[in-house]
Amino acid sequence: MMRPAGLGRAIAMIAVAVWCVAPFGWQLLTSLKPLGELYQVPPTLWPFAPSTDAYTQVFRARPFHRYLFNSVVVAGATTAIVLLLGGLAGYALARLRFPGRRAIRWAILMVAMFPPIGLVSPLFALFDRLGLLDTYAALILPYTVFSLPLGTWILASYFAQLPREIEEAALVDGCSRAQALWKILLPLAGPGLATAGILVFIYAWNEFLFALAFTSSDAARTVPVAIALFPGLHEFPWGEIAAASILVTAPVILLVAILQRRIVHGLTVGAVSGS
Amino acid sequence: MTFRARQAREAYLGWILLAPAVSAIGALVIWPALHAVWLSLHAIWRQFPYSAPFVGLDNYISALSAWEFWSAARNTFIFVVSSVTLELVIGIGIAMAMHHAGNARWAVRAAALVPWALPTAVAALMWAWIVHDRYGILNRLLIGVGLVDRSVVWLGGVETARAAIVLADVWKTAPFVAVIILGGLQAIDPAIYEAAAIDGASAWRRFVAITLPSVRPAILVAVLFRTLDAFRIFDLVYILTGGGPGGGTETLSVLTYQTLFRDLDFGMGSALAVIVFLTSLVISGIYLRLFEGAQREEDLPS
Repeated sequence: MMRPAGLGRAIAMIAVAVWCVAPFGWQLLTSLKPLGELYQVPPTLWPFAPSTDAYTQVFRARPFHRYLFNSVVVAGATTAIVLLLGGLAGYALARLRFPGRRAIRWAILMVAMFPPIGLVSPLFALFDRLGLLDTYAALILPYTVFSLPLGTWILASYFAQLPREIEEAALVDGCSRAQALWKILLPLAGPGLATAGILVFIYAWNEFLFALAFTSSDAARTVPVAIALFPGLHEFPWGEIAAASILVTAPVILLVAILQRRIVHGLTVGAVSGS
Repeated sequence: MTFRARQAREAYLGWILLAPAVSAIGALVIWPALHAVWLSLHAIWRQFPYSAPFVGLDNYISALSAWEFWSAARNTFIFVVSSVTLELVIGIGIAMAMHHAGNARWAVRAAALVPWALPTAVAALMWAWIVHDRYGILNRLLIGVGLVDRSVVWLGGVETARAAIVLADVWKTAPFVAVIILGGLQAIDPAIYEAAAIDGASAWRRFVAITLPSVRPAILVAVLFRTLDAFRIFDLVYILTGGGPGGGTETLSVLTYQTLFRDLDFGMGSALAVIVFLTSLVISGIYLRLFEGAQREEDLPS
């Protein structure tokens, strides 16, 4: 490789980091400002007397722990179901030959490209009839199908790169295919499951449209919708919004920092298999 | 076991393994999509869900003859073109920075994933605060460097509100574009650059003649995903401007949602939903065509 211009490279890197992180940093600073400083004109950069009032207020004035719990249940259940269904489907698509395979690939691609707004009215009618509105199921069900394509692609690509010999050895030893999948391949698929799992979890954790349309009370409302509904008729509690934003984003950012390699890999696989 | 029997067993197992995923997709995407078409052919009001007279294409006719629809279509188009273009340019820049970051790659990558990982709803509120006319930091920065001489009411005018939406969207999604393009960059053989450098090609020339053509497939993938995603934009607009001022930023998804849940008109809302998903289908069809074309070109022996 050639000697690159070190300074230009460093400037580019810093510019990228600042552009990506600064707006979020501003939100962090905002969350630490007491009311008086929050509404200062012109705004000050650093909080003069940092306080955590906004954070305690988020939990005291609203059932924020309930929203967090709802988000954890919905995102967790979605991830578990998608890994199960996507793992089975991914294995079949990667390893087995059977009629109708192409049709299935097409169907999965169509789902990946389907705009969610197109399903809001029929799903609303369906969940209404089944009495599922404002329950976890009303979110877990659509989240599962909408993240199934990504989960399936990632797991299929992962199964496809495991050497066939491992499985064939198990088959020769008298395992059935199902046993080979369960006992041999599943333990090896750990990294694939982690990659698919993190992407599905983040999607479900962040989803807004279905959560807005299908919940009407604190029973199942998830954090993104709850925060968007913070503003009341006459007030816009910017400090609390900032604090809640930090709270809901912190776990995601932690996951991203730890699992960045997998995320980048998963996004690339998802996008490339999808096309 | 004969070959034929083994094949039959494999097919059988294949279908068993796919059955749960396929039935989920059938029950929660395909059937509802067909139901949306049925709903769109009836007059259904949310308050009176049990009377649903068949009205044929009436909902489509009134949707397509309302100015709201064409205004939303225009807003959506403007948004898709401006934000996908900017995301592509900035995404390529970020990808280059990540690619050449050397030992610091993990830090740049972690930073770039922050906007991507944030819930869009949170990003929307964050930008609403940044562009706030009185307390926002953006106005202060712009006044500080002398670009404007007094506070801009960003969400008060159509043009500036559009700019704010595009800015927030580009910030949030350019890293995704960068990650996809980075995959393409990493596949390029460094020897090609060395050979070009020895031949005296400038950095710009190398970028245009080697880098861009090599990452073209990755760019196509990124543009396909981003176009479809931008076309269905909802969260950002709904939270940042609510479609305002005066409907000036209302997109097709927002219009559909408002027809369903503000006007409680399920027939008309479903007709709009069907129009949105058919348009999406056409967009993906066009792009998939482009892909096949690009792939065929590459497959040709040179």
